Amino acid sequence: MGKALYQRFNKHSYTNPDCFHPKASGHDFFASSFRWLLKEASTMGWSHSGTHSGHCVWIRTEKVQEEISPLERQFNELANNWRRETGIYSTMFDKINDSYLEIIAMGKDVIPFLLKDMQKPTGTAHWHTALKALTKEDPVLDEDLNKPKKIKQAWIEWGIHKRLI
Amino acid sequence: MIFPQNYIYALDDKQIHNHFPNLKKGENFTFTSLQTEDYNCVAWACDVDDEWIQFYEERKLVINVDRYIQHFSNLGYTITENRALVAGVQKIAIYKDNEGNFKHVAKQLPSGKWTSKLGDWEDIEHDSPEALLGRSYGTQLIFMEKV
Repeated sequence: MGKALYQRFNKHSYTNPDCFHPKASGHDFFASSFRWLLKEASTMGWSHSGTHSGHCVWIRTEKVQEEISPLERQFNELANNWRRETGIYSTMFDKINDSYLEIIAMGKDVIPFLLKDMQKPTGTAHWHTALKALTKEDPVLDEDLNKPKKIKQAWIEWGIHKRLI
Repeated sequence: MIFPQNYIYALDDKQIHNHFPNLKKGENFTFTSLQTEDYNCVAWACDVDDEWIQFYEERKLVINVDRYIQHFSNLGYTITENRALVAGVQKIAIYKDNEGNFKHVAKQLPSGKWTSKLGDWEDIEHDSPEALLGRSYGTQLIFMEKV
């Protein structure tokens, strides 16, 4: 099913092969399976990037031809679970739950995935804590600790400097 | 607020059921923004929309509600027992759990309703602070006001 969906993404994507428009996949399919589609899309590396002409647009940073490794798929699933489980909370204390800890427990191999997620338009700065734990480094300035965009920028620059992304 | 066609609410029916047993869709709250991680409830209560306000001591997170009360005190708020709408007086409701940990803050609107930013998710306008009480945001409220 995942492969069929993957092909469907390719078939219905716009001229940009990394851009998928759910509405373009046909009304019946769209209406009956949309929530399932969103979940599947997320686990495959697509992220919700906002809207275009009133419809949801999904963008993936990788080339569509790339296969997602089992490790990245595991990360995507845990990250989606974590977002669903803790999105309601407003402090990192409440956001560090079992899914978040499982991501940290995946070890240093997960660092590029965290950084790649931060690069997405909807990527989260909440990976700051996990990245600190995994890297034993902290590129974020004291005065930027409450600024999500600055946090993401600092870690992305760190990742580029370390050639991790 | 006009939501895009087919917008997927982060606070969907299942999440409402899980987190806010007092929240009734179509009855005592309305959505007022799309979901965003750019700011949290504390920032929203302070009219800031580009910060995720948390408090640190030597870069260690402080979650005790007293630190949040101190923050709002520094902004001119004082603790009050009177939660009623008073013209010219800004009121907030701070939510805490049984361990004294901060969980949420809502701000009263001139209409008497309340506005909340729900973590990484949407802003909502709700009829009363009690609408968000429960397992997730705690069961105790502290009201503060500023003239």
